Amino acid sequence: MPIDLQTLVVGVAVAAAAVYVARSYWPRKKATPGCTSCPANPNRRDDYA
Amino acid sequence: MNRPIASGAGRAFLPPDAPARPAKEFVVAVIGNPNTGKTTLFNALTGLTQHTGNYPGVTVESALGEFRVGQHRFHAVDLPGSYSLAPRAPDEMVAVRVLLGRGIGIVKPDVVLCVLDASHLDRNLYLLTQVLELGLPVVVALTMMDLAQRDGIVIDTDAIEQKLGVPVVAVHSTRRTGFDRLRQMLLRAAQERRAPRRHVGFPPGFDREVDSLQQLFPQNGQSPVPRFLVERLLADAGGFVEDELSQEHGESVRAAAVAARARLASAGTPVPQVEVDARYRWIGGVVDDHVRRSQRTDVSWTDRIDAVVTHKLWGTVVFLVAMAVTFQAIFAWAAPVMDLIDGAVQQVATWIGALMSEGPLRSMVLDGVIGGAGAVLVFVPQIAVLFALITVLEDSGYMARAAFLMDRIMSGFGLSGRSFIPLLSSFACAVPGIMSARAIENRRDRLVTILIAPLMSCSARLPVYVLFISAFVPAYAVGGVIGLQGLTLFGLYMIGLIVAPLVALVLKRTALRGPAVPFLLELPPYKIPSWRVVFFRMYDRSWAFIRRAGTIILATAILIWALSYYPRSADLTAKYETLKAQAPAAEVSRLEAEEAGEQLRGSYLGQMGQAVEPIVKPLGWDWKIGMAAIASFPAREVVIAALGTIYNLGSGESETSSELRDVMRAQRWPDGRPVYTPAVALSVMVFFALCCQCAATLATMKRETGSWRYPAITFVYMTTLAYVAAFVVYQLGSRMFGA
Repeated sequence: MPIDLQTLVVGVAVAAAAVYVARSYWPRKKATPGCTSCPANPNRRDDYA
Repeated sequence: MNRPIASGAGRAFLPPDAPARPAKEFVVAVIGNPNTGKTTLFNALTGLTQHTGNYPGVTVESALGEFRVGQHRFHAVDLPGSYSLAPRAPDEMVAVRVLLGRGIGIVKPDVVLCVLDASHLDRNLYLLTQVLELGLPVVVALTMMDLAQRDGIVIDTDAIEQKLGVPVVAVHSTRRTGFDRLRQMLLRAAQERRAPRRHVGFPPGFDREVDSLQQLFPQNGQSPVPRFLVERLLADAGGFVEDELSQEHGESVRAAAVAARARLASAGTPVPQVEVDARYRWIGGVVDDHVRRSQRTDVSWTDRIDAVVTHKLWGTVVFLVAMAVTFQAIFAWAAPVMDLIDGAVQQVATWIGALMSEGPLRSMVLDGVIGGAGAVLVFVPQIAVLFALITVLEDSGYMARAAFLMDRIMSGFGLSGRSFIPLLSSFACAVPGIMSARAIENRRDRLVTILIAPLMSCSARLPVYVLFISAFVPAYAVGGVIGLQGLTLFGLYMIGLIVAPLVALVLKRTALRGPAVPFLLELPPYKIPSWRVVFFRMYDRSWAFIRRAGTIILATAILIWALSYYPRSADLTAKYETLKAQAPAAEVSRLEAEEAGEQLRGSYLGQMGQAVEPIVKPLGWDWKIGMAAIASFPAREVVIAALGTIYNLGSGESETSSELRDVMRAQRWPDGRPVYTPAVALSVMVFFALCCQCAATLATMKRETGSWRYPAITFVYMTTLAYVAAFVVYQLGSRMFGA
């Protein structure tokens, strides 16, 4: 069965929305070079918490 | 050769491989208490050359700049404002590291410029007594001389200079007076490299313990431990120095320090009291000899206002009235613009509805995008008014008084007064609130603050409150003065303020037990708020809200729409087509609504909703409210988009999308009872006041604590609290107002 244009556009929009929402749960980490205690640094060594 | 002292955020103070500085270049570290005019002086010294640097070891931003004295170039670093060099917070540790030149890439300053507020000289001298013990040349700048003069304080600067043994220069940053002498003194101090003498003496027992601790560290290694740090190790129980030296040289360092403190305590000279007493004894002598205070005959306006607003009883009354007026203004001032936006959104829906042909895309645009995300945009005026008023309160100086009042209450719950500032930020958004908890030195207090910050009513909750209040709370004035709607909103904001200290109390008595830490809060003088500041804050927050509506809320609304639209039942469509063809014209719209309702019930969202209905029914909710609440996990405002989408789809009249408030009022149970009663509306609002439906908050918590444990605990305890409170409110409310 051929997909009509409206369904195709809806499919793309829903997929894009799903990707956007999913990505919001895994925020990108931006490590600061030289910052050993910065919370954004995955290799931090301090006692922040 | 001109080399940058730091080349932007994330770079070290000086590159580790940097060659030695030419003789004509010096490094000056500027230090002082907060609010001493330190940064104004720094800016006046460095002109437009300053930029922001990021220190190795911790993300504390500081300004770096340059200035010249004749042929000599000074690289200046503005250290974070600090009351003492006993590092208990990360930013204070940075100041100590820089002053001692400890750490990769940090160059020891040639001279320290210590900025003292002349109107609070005794308190400011405490930091100076410590700076004088670092072994670095020091120059003192006295600021706020005009304020001191106004307050009847006369300082004999020459005599103080003699007493301290370092140059003391009175400066006025805005009038630029005293700067030539200040520059000359900095140059002379940097060239002579003469360390000032030590003024404050400690009991012999303290010095003996320092000598004994010093033996634990090799003195000729790559990074020798200076005596100043050993003194801090002894004096600051549980401080950053103890942690750092124990990490570097083994836990035996901590054990030795603990034992030394115990010996000092049993000898009647406990730390930190012995240090505080010794320093203030010396300061008292200096101030008594060289500072005269004339009897003040006039009382400043700030003092007069503070006598009322910081009073235990009247201060609380002023706080409650200020908040009630703020919340009423949110309704009164925002309503006309809100109606305009609402009208515009509906007009757009009508135009697009007329342009597009029937089908899923049209439904997605009308019911998901406009009916969902568009419904959230209506609340931009409320956000703007809220932030304008909060900024006025902050910029006028009133918020510091509110913090003072709250500190009194919070300390009663075992919570550090320092926690109030992160909690105050959380009224805007919990994300910066949680991040600002970094400044809390005590680990347990930091965790407690992070765990309770999401209980503060953030701006994302405001649209939810406003929607339900404007739909279900009558707009009449209580006692002819304050509107019931504003009072309800005030009450909802108070829920967080009441529940947060209670949760803190439980945490401090159980998992995160520990003593309350004293909090030093400076009350700035009152001033007329800057309208520029108010406007930019209002603009910034409103724009951030619009961006959220266009991104995460829009994306979630589209997903909710898809889950509510699919699967479409062809049998149902065929059945209703036949019925509509046979029915009289007056019956068609009723049949359309019935069909839409059945399609929605059969959708993925409808099926999930009916599965969760038994869980939300005790709260008085139907499955649609339950699903909207669950769908709002990414962000609280999504509940509005979700309700808009679900009701638009369920009505079958998307091309005449009416105001969400009216649609909600028209909702009925199958037996004809209205879904939304005052008790249900209160139950939903209380749920949203206490729940943790915010993915960004949980992600920030994970980042700040380094573990999923704390976000998980927060989500579970807040959801449980929200559910129980919503249940109690509904059960009590339905008895009071009728179900």
